[in-house]
Amino acid sequence: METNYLSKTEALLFASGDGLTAEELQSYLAVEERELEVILQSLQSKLAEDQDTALMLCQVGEQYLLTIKPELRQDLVELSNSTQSAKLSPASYEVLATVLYNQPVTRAQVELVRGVNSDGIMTRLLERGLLEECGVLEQPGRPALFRVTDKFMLEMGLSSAKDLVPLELLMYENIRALEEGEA
Amino acid sequence: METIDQIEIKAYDSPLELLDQLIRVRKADLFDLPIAELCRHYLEILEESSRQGLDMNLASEFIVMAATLMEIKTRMLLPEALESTGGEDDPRRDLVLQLMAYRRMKALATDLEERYQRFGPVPERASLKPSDLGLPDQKVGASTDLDPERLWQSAERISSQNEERYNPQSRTIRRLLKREQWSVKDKIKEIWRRFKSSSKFLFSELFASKNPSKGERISTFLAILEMAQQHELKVEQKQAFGEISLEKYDGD
Repeated sequence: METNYLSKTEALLFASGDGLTAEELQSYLAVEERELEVILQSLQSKLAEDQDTALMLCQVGEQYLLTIKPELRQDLVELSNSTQSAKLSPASYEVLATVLYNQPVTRAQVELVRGVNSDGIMTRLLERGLLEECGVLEQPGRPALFRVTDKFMLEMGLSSAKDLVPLELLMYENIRALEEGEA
Repeated sequence: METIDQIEIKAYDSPLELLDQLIRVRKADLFDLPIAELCRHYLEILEESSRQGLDMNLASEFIVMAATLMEIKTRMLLPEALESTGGEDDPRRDLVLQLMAYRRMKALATDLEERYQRFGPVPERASLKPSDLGLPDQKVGASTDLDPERLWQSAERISSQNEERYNPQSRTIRRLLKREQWSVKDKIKEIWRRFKSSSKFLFSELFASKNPSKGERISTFLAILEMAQQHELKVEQKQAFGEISLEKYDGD
C-alpha cells in the first residue's frame, strides 16, 4: 500500500516543475495530513539513501518539490548555457543577507544596513529571480518592499527560516562573545 | 591585518565598512568605542585621501560619517554622557547598533556564500503539460459546439461598446483641433500687417467679429505680450479693464 503512495507522490512531484503544497498533495493522493507526512518522509529517505538516483525531495516554504542532489548540480551547469551560473559578487551576498534577515525591506532600509546605495545590485538580483517585490510600505512615497524568492532558498539550500543561523546567536551578548573569541 | 597607514578610502564601498575596519585594526571594544581616537584616525584617512586627489564629491557619504563621529565625540564631552555609558543615552548607541547590524549582515553574507557553493545553482524546470506526458488534453467542460447566435450577439455588444468608447474621443479630438484655430504666430503676423497701415490702434480692433471667442482673445493677448517682450510694440491701458492701445515700437 505504501509503496504505491511513494511512486504516486514521486510522479506528481515530477510532473509539477515548481512543486506542490501539502494541501494539493493531500487532495491528489486522497490522504490526511498525518499520512502525507509519513509518505513524504519515506520518499525523502528513499531518495536520499539511493545512491543511484539524482533526485531528492526538498521543501521550500509551502512547496514540496523534486530537485537534483547538490553534489550533482555542477555537472548540469555545462548542459545549460544560461548566464545563471555567473558568480554572485560579495556585495550581492551582503544585499541578500540583509533582505533575508529583515524581510520585507525597502531599498532604503537595505542601504541603511550596508551603508551604501544598493539599488543596482537589487535590480540585478530581481532580474535573476533571487529577490521579488512583495507589496509597499504604507508611508509617504510608498516604497516597494522586497523579500527573497523560493528560488533563492533552493539555491542556498534553505528549506525555511529554521535553517538559518538563529537570530539569538547574533544578539548583543553573543556578538560580544564572538568578538572576544576572535581577538 | 592592515595597519592604519595602509587603509585607503578607495578600497571601501561605504563609510561603515571603513569604520568597522578601523575598529578591528585597533582591536577596539565595540561596546565601549574610543570615539576620540577613531574620529582622529578617520579624519586622517580622509585628509590623506583628499591630498591624493580623491574627489570628495564622490566621497560625500564618508564626510557625513566624519561629521557624525565628530558630533558623537562632542556629545561625549558633556557631563551627562559620562554618566550614561552603555545606557540608553550613550551618544555612541546609534552608531554601535548600526555597526552591529553591519557586522551581523557581513557574517550572514559569508554564510550564504558558503551555502551557495554547496547547494547552488539549481536547475529550473517548468511544469510538464499533459501533452508532455502523453496524456490527452482534457479540458473540463470543453464544448466544441459554437453557438453562432451567441457569437454574433457578443460581437455586437463589443462593437457598440467600442463605439461609445471611441466616439467621445473623436469629439474631444475635434474640440482640441478647434482650439488650435487661433495660433499666436498667426496673430502676431496679423498685428504686423496692421502696423503697416497704422502705427497705433486698439486691442479690440484686432478682432473681426463683435464677440470673439475666448480662444481668439487669449491667442491675441499672448501675441501682444510676446511682441511687447521682444520690444516690437508698446502696450498701454489707461484704466483697469479699459481699452488697451497698441503702438508700434520705434526703438528708442
